[in-house]
Amino acid sequence: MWAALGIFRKDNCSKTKPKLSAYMDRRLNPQELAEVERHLANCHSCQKELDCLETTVALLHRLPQVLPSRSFRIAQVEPSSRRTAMPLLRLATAAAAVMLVMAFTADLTNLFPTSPSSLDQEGGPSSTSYWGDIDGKDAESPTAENQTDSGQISSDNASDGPGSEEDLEATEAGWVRPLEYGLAGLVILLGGVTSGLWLKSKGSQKQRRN
Amino acid sequence: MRRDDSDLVESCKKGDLCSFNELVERYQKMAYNLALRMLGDSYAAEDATQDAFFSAWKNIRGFRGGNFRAWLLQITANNCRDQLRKRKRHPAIPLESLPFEPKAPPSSESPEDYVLRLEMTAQIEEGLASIPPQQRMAVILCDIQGLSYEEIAKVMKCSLGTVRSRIS
Repeated sequence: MWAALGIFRKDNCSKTKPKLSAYMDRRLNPQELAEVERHLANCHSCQKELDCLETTVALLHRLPQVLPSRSFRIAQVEPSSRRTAMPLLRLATAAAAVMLVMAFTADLTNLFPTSPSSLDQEGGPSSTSYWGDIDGKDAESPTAENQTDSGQISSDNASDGPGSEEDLEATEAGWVRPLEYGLAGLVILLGGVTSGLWLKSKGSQKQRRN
Repeated sequence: MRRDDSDLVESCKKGDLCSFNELVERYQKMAYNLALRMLGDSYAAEDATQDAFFSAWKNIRGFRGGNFRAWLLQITANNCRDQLRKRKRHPAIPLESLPFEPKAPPSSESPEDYVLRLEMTAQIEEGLASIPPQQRMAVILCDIQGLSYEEIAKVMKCSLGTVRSRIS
């Protein structure tokens, strides 16, 4: 029976101890307050715990308030009249990055046809020489002769020479890589400039605070 | 005549920096002590406090009224949490925790009392540092700064029950 009573008291102690802080701060409701007071009157261990808690709180109250070594007043800062290019740069970097991702995705999913080999097999201009041609006269396709009065391309030259379907494919295949490299370069350049400017402005802000 | 907080806050919202600096003078000691007890390093505490006042000034228009002190301490507490998180990621020993030459006791205190006080302070700080940050914050606000449970709940953005359990 004594053992059962011991367990009962232990159970009450575990319920009372978490309430001791609130009891000290007078934050218990009347019912809880009555329970805790009843338990404290009979429990030496919880009474000891309460004394210990009161001593700790008294020590905490005695902890000195430290004076800061400087004032935290904020100095009047004139708003800068100079307009910053940061928002524009950030936007441009983001746009270039998105375009780069789109180009890569399109390239990986074969949205850009890349088969200039058919031209090579037929003795047509290789992709390298074609790039030479594209700058020259041949690149001006469709030519005036190939166009009908209505402005459409005539069917005679539709299958051979520059301006044909294969040529268009070759053209597309040719500009994909330079586009990707160009965009990657642009992203790196813009990203570098933006980060540099951001770090510089952050540094000057910190200096101003100090 | 001493203007009350809400009056000063209204002036701040119109862009009056002098009114804000009056609030700074009023609460800088409290905010600094909270940061100091949370971080245990005076330089980090100064940074956290200064950042808190900057944020408060920048966002004063977003303050919807009520208890300015609780709002300011909430910002300071957030800064302290950020600093503790950073410290966890990049641990470093603050210079202050290294052994240093003791200062002379103030003339009003005997050397024995001074040493006892220093030891007691060190032990309390050690005890505070050993408890979890959320509980430490609640204890500092309640037993050192003397805030009510309602204010602590606002600062820590939690319920009264949570405050009670953190302090117990």
